[in-house]
Amino acid sequence: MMPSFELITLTLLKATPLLLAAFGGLICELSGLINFALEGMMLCGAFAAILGAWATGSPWLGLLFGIIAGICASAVHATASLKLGANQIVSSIAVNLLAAGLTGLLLNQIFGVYGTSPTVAKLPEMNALLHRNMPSPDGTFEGISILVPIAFALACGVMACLRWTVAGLRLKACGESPEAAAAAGLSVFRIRFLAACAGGALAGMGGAYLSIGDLSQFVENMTQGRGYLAIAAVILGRWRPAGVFSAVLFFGFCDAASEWLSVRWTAMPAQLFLGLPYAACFTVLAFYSGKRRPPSALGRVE
Amino acid sequence: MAISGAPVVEFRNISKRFGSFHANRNINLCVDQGEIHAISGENGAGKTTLMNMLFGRVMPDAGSVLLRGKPLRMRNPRDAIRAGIGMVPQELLYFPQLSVLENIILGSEPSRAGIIGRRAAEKEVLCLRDAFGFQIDPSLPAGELPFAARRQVELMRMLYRRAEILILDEPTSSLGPGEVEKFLDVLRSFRAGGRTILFISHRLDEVFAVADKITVLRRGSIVRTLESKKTSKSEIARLMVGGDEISCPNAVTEDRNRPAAASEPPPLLEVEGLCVESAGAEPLIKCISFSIAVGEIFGLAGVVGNGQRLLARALSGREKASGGKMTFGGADITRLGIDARLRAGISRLSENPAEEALLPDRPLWENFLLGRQRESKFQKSGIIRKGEAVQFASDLISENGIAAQSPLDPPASLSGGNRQKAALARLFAGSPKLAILEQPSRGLDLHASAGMRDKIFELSRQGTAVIVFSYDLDELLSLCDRIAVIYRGRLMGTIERSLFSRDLLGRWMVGISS
Repeated sequence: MMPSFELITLTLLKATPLLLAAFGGLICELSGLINFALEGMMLCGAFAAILGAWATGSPWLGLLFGIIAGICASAVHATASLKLGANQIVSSIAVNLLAAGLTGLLLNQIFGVYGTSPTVAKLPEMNALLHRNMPSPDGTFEGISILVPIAFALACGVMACLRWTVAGLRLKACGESPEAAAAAGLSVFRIRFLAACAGGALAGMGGAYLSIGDLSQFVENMTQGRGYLAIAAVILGRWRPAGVFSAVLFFGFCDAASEWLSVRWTAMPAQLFLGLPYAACFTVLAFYSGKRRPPSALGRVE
Repeated sequence: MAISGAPVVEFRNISKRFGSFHANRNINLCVDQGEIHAISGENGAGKTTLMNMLFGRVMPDAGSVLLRGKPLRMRNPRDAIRAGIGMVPQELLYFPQLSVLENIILGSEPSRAGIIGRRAAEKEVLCLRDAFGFQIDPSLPAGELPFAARRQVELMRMLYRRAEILILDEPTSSLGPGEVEKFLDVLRSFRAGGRTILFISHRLDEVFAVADKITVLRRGSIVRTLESKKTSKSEIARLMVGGDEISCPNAVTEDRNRPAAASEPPPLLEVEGLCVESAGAEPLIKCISFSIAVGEIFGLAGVVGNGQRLLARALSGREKASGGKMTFGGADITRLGIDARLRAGISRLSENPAEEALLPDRPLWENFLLGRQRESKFQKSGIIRKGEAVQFASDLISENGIAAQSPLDPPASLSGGNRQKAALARLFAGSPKLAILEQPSRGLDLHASAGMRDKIFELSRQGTAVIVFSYDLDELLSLCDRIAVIYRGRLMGTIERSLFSRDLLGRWMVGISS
């Protein structure tokens, strides 16, 4: 197989959890609610997916569990920030810390293990679906989870919704000026809360991809900062869906390249390549300044 | 005029207090179907509060609002909109990064299965725009429009929603004369269609041109409701201030009467070939030259959106000049920033003080301190002397008749007119050498705008040069020594007081040079 094709596939794989989380964060932030809690939502999603798959035996139900866990984590953040008036960044950090502690605790209490959960059934791969009856001739789609095309389709769906639907327009309006949105007769709290929940669902799904799409087990703190990278993608994409999409692909590519290079270039320490996506993120954020501004009322409650 | 039985809107024993301040006291008012009902009163008389209660933005402490005889229970504007009530507030609420089109249709989007019918929306919005003769590109982000055009967007939004009962709070304050006429025509056509309009305005000319009834509010209570045919401007003005006569009759009628100087006063500000790159939708400033003498009052007339804001910003140092030269008192100031120009004595009042002059949520004393925090009176080795600053603020509040409870109140708690007074008071207190005033009488009542004019005349006598940007030609004609007209970023011409001609200025304003 051509190395470039391999790199592209790897990029898509690496981009999938970021894509889901970043679009979740994008929806939330466009509605005006700061969302630094993507990391925590992903972690909850990853753990709940394993729990669901383990308890029911079905990875699809596991995915549902993951989505619900993401929504719950997001609802906590939204309630604290929108209803109780907590600082949105502090509330986000609290959700992240809570998620890290809670998943570790439950891992130990439910499975009786430390660090790594038992293996469960993972979601099907493209290969199995496409070549159900005949064995794959070339292994083209080997190792690509069914969640990868689903994630890209969802991202396109979110883009279309934001651009063409009434719901998308109203969501953006709440992020531009909650006062004006209220004067136009919108229920700002409801729209923001729903946006946060939808965002949490996507982020939870991104987490589930890590545990039951990519691997088939939960590892403590397995998100490894991907939630923060997703936030960076939202900022780098200047809160525009197409921009965020490009940023995610860029980060995915850097991640893929680092893995690809570390396999081929064993003379160099692997840690050097592991840092590549983060270094790239830092460099681009430092030197790139787009014209578009963040949502005008980001972080402002009426 | 269609009159049916029950009043369409009835306020019954409405009272509202903010802290210890009685915004509305025991208001009883009936508004009939298909009537244009003007609400008049001085700044802080409680007009906006009353209207906010009809729109569900403020809850009354006591009393009730009835719609067609039934009590209205409103918790928020959504309930009001559902009941067919629309409001254009004085302080604009809009979505800066959404397009004009999206701003207008939001809340009642034409849609099928959740997808916005963009083409249908565009058609209707363009229709509305052309009915008014506004020149707004609906695809531009609203935040890039000049301030006045944003109000036009707001008006279009209201008309788009086809509200049955319209509340308009100072709707014409940034429209030019021609636009006001068109706007009043639209109001008349609304009335003919059976809609009811509640109209707050300080411009009695407009009130008398369209209103059927006029209700005068004073200090939170209704003084009287009169039929406009059976009253006069002077009676309304008298009721507003509560005395037997207008408290400063001279100032209201007095025109600029500049003592003839023995010799030509020296030029203070000279602008040569000033060019500014465009910020947003406004035209570029192209090669503008003029000079202003010490103590002169220079008016800049023009239709909304012809580069006034950009020019004002360039003069104050807020915007960089891309070409040309500005000399102030002999020194080249072209490259100086706002701070250096402030220290040289150039102060500007922005067209939108809420955005560019006042910190809405900080106390008034901090707002008044801004710009003079370095003065030794107000600080000692970097520590603010709060006592001095608060004292200074209370002096300004009482001198300028700002309706604030204390200098610790933030501007956000004041009415629109009082915020304007506060911004003006701060500027005048700094005794600038050059004052650049954009729409200085915006939101001011008769009394306050008379005070503002007196202040301008007084400053001019002390040698301050004043540049007044206004869309109101009458204001400029009575205030200025010279008037220039700006059209699409160029000066059409300048005219001396002795040669003032409404006709010529009007032609310049639409771009006919002769």
